[in-house]
Amino acid sequence: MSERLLTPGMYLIILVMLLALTVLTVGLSFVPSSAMMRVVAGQSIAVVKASLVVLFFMHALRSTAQTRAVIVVTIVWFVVVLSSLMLSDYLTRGMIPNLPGH
Amino acid sequence: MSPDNGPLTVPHDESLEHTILVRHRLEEQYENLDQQHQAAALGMWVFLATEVMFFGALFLAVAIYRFLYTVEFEKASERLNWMIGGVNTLVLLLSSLMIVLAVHYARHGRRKRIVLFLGLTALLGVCFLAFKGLEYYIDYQENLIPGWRFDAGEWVTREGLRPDQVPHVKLFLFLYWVMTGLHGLHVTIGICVVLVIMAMAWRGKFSPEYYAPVDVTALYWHFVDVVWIFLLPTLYLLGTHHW
Amino acid sequence: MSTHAFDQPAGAAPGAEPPTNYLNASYSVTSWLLTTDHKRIALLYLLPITLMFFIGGVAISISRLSLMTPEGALVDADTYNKLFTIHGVIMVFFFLVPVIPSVLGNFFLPMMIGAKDLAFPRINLLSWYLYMLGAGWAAVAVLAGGVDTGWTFYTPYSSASSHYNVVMTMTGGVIAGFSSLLTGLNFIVTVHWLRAPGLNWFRLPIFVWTMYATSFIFLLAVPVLAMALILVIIERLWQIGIFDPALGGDPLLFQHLFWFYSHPAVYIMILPGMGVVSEVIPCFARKQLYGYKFVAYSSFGIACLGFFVWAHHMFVAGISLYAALIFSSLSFLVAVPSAIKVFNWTATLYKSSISFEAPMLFALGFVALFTFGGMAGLFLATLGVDMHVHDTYFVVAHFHFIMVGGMVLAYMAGLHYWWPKITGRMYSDWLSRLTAMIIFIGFFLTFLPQFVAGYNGMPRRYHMYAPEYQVWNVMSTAGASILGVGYVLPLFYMVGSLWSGKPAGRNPWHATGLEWQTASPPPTENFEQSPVVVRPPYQYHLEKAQNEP
Repeated sequence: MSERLLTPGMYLIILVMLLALTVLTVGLSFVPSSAMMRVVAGQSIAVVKASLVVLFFMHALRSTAQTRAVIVVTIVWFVVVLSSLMLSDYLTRGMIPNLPGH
Repeated sequence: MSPDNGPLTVPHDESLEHTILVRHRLEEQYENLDQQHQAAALGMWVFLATEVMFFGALFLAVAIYRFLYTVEFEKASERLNWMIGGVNTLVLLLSSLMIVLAVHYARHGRRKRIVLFLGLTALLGVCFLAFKGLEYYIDYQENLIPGWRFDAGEWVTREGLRPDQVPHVKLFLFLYWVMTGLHGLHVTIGICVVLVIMAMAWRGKFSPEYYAPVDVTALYWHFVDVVWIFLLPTLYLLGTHHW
Repeated sequence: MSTHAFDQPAGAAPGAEPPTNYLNASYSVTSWLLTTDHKRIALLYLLPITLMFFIGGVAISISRLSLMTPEGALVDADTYNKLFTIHGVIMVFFFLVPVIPSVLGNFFLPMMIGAKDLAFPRINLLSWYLYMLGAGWAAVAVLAGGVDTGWTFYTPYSSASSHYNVVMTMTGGVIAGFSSLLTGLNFIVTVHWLRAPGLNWFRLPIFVWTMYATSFIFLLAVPVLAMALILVIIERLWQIGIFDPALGGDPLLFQHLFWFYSHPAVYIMILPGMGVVSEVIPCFARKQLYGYKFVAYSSFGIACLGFFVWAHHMFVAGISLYAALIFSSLSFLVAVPSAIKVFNWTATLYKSSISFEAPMLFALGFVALFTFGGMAGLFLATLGVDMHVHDTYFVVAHFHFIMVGGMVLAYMAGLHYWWPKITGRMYSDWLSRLTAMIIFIGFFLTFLPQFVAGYNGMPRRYHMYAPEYQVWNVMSTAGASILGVGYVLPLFYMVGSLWSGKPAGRNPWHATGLEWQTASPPPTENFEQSPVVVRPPYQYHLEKAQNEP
């Protein structure tokens, strides 16, 4: 497989970043904040960590077009299709009084 | 070292050529090992996509119920052992580095290093499971197992919930056990596969031209790590912790 | 009727050795049960899937007999519930979902792209073993007393109340789901990496496009269903779960997760049928498929849009009105790519040279019945109408028009079209045409009255009903018996052709497509030499310019 290779040193740097982000995310959970902030902070940091693993450890950056398409479609399907459409039900229940489902 | 397209086992009976009993390193539907490697990698990525949807349904359930029962979920999340959860995150991340190095050395044909790093990966995986076992034991002591060891009263007196809110805590804990249990199962399977690949590496089956099994196993392992990366904030960090 | 003289197949010289093909390469049991040859695996699937079809058919035949009278006295309520449940579970999970992909797809996908096998032959064999395990598990569940929840397994009845074999049936379903998931994975990688030289995407037969789109759906939908079923299994086994209202759980969450798979599942069932029809119609109309790119893209359109509409099964279940509005609008949208296909098939037939062999009869029946049933779907997508016809026989008729009138007819078309290639034999022409007519007539008589009964209010899943619906039920049962005859006939003339059928020759239908360039039955490695593709598919119009031998 031809690609620009990452060196073991570069992998180590990625790991250090991941470890630091882990310490950060746990540390932030000690800081008093609103429920929304906690979720946003926690999930955002997780997304960054996951991106580092997928892009560098799983070599997504150097992968074939098909692989990149699989990754993008999967993310879109989970976030947009499954989650958003299902939440469109749960988040809008109770908005119209005296109606079934509300 | 068997040649590229020689059979790995020799059948007594040629009629068994097109069965699982005979395996050529370069399978006949592929033109070369590189094409075979690319196909194997795509196959694993596609499989990981299905796993995202599989675990994803559970994450979505947490999101929905957290939306409905925010206070109960936060209180329940605070009772989980963030320290072991955090340490386990570090363990898995380190194991991901180990296996990516194993792939790196596989590409360079360094047999001993492949074995070393695969071994370290498996070892760290076992560490993860050991810490998990410890954590589960502590959860047992703390009455955090709905349907088996659960004290509704302490959620009212210690955590300040109303009695009608206590059942919702059970929803959170159920999801915690199912999600971490399912993840633990995936780690266990991963460790077994890593050990098998390690044995193959030890016997010299891999070369710079043929190391797809190492590559594909690594992809799976990284995925298991990514699931845990999301499990940490989703289950352990919903509430506010105190020293 | 027929205006084309299809060649008398050139037989081998008398007394010559039959050439080695995938069937006679080895006769040992081991060579079949451990095979990695995609063609043998396809046949391994064919037998249990056919068996499951007849088991599911027998179950509902008993129900239909019971429904001849309003009191429904043939079976009691519990047994009736078990019969329609097992009919649904078997027909959906063990027949409709796997039949075309695992039989015709497994056999012909590699051949259509000029490959020697699928990308992962051993995983293909694993898929078959998983199917057998799942089917066996479900069969044991039936023998152990069945299950009465309906194939939809709605909570909290399935998770908390039902006294029957929910866990066992669901486990069979989960295992079968993994079987199809692996098949989908195999197909996707195969189409990406094993196409013959010169075979770019727009030279692929539509059947390959639809297999790819179907696989796409498998991969993204099956895991969600698996999780939903596993959660109910856990809830039943450990008496605790997230669908339990006593814990604040929402039973509708199960329905959301269930239908997230099960609506795309209906596109899993119909897309392969559409692929078959797209092969058959150009061949028997001797005309290039009209609007190839539209038909190809609409396969993806159906696969994608099909994921956005699942909650239209839940309009009256208690979802919010805003969600219902969103899903209703999206459900109208999903009809568009299907309609595009119907327009293109019709345009293919226009001013073409049609002959009415059995595959074409089945394909034409598909177009008519699928369109009819699909239009009924628009009624159901309309919120105001759905309030009245949800859970009535209107719904039952709608999906049977599509599944039986559409999908099963397409499968019959494919089976009749490719039988000569698979077996090297031709079946009885007149008997197959008669069968197609019997099935078409039987189908209409069975399911059209159900539209009327449902629109007039007859609820589904009830073992007894008000007397005013009796006439429709009697017509439906009468039709079902005719339909049954139509389904049994092929067992005789197709199996019979294995002994007494004419040798088919390489290309009895003079069809285009790589699978017709090799022998019938094909050799194990499919092609003596790897083909190189230089032309788009369906070049039937070129034969007028050539002197046909």
